[in-house]
Amino acid sequence: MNYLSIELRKTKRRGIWLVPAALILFLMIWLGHSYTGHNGSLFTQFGWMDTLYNMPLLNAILIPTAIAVLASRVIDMEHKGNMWKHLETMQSRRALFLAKTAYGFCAVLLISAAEVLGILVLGKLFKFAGTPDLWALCLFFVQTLIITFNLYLLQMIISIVFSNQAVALCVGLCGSMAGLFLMFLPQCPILRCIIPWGHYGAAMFVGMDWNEQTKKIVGFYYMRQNNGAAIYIAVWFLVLIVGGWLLFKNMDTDGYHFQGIFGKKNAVSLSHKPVRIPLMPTELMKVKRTPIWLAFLILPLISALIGTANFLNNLEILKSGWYSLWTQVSLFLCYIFMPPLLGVYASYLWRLEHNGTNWNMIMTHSSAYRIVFNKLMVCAVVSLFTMLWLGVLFIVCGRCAGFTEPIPAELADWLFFGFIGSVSVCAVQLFLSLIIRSFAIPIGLGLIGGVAGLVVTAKGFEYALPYGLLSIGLRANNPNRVLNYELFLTSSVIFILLFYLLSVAYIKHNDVKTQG
Amino acid sequence: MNIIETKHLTKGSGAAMRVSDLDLAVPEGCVYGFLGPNGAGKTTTLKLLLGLLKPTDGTITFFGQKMTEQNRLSILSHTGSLIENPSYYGHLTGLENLQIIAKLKKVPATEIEKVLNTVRLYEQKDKKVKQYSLGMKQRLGIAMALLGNPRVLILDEPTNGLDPAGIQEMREFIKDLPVTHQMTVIVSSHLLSEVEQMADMVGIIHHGKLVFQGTMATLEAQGDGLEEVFLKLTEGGESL
Repeated sequence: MNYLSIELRKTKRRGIWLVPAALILFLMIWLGHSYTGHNGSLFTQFGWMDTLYNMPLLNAILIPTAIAVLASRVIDMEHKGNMWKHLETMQSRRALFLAKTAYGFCAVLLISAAEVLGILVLGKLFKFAGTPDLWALCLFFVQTLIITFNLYLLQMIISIVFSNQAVALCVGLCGSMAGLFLMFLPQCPILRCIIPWGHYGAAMFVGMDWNEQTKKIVGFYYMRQNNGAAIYIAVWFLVLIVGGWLLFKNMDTDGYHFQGIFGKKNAVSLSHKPVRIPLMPTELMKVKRTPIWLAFLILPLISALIGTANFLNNLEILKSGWYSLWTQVSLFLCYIFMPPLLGVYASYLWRLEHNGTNWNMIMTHSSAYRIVFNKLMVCAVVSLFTMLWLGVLFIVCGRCAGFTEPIPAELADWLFFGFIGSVSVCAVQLFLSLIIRSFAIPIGLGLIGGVAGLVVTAKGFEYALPYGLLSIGLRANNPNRVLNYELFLTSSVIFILLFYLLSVAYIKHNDVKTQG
Repeated sequence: MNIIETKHLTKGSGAAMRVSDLDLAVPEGCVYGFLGPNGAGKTTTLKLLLGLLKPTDGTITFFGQKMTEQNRLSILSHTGSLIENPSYYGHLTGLENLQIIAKLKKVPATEIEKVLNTVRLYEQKDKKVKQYSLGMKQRLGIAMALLGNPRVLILDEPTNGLDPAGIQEMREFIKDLPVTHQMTVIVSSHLLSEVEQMADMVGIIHHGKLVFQGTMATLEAQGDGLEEVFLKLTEGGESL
């Protein structure tokens, strides 16, 4: 108890509660939105069941990233302050592990309770018909609690093992993408159970009944999923808590790094080759030995694989060949996963400079214009390769799906404007990561931005938000959409320039702050 | 001729005053010891000189040129500096760190080998910097500052983290820089003995104000012993 209160004190002024608060607020707005408008009465009629039907999907989209941010916030402060060694001298490893775990459990408990409370508030607000089924709400509460706590444990462990927080956030993003997609693959229920991000879907207990002819909702029903999800969840819990503890117990105190577990690398051999100055730009030299680009390979790969599988499963609805496949492959990627992933990269690039006293060095050697430009260029190059990779995957998947028609010529157009939109997102994320020194917060904002992009696209203001530009550039929800090229380019140039100049101005007009 | 001059250099105001009204004068070709108790404003002053902090008031003149936002970088290209702790990218090797600085400073590769040998880090150059000891990081920081043979070297407590032999070696090295490398050195310290050993010129700062500036000899002439003079200037036994 004492140690838990220490953890609470340590997170003072870290604004940890912001992440869950934003999450809950967002869920409420999203759900609340569906109960307004001309279809609203249809849903409020089944309100209590409808919320329980939708919540697992929303949880699967939002919670993994939010939890990755939360866990990283709790753990990263120890890395930053170089505290591990010091803590070790004052409390046992078990106490420290328990304290961090208990802290996460409390946070997850509050989030789960807030979700249930949110459902009740929505019910009152929109006057759902009937009374809430308390048993169902309790079951939902327990499920959310356990599944989310599993995710917290997983993220906490990764955040501890890899002091580079980009790893934890990339794993969170890739996992959440896989979990989300597997919810749409009813043919292989086992897959959902295997990964912890899929458990929200695997544990769903409300189904939707709809009329085949009119495509209208008839009602909701309780169901029992015979996929053994409970067992998988329990096994994951045990593995995470026991495995996490063993990993933590046996870790090398000195550094708490990856090498700590897999044996320290032995003495480095000295090279006697004459020293050269590499031709590589300095920004690229700085990102050497950081495998974050792997996430840019993996995320589109997951998206393409599962998108294609989903496409093959729904051939009777998706009839436009390449065009249908494109939507399946790119939709979730551009709304929910690309923005935070670009956020991870932006955060990482600035983290290099936020570390220690590096700002002193940078600011005595280069101008603010140049440094922000260089960072933006690195992000642009990464975006470009991601788009090309997405294109390659799309073509390969299409051929594997047996398409014989030629590849649509528009592909180049989609990818090019997707690239432009993605650079706009990079400019915003770089600005956010520059002014917010936390690694994880800008990534959370990236997720919110991505979903906001979805909202503005639905409302017709897609050109007014960089995150919207990314999705319409890719034409993800409608490959036949005709882009207003002039407006698109003007808007992108304005965003890129605006956030570039804002970043430069921020550097120029503020005193250098180092982390001493 | 003074290579660096400041007039009424001020940072902060009211209760949050960090340094006020500094009139520094650093003659060319000297080792200028910048002395003061912890928290007196030494690092703040050095950061002001490099334009890392924006002065609230006052001017800074380098090489006879008034420093502005426009000429800041071209002036700084003739300086080398180590402020607070050494700056480095931990996941890169010492050599890679120096290569980055060399590219930024547009310095040839031969210089890198030279400074590596100067700070005796050549054998460790292929090790990641996060595996360096504190003293090795400090020496890397000094190597970065020396790179490109700058006219002015600004070192903030450069002997931090070095072992006794290293400290002695560093002091000798700094002392000789005006002769061996034609450099002017500003070196801050809170150790009187250290400054006494290295410096020709001394500036003593206390609570953000310059309480003494002159040659080492003038300072010595002020009283019975350096220790006493220093304590008198900094109002007795406050933390040193």
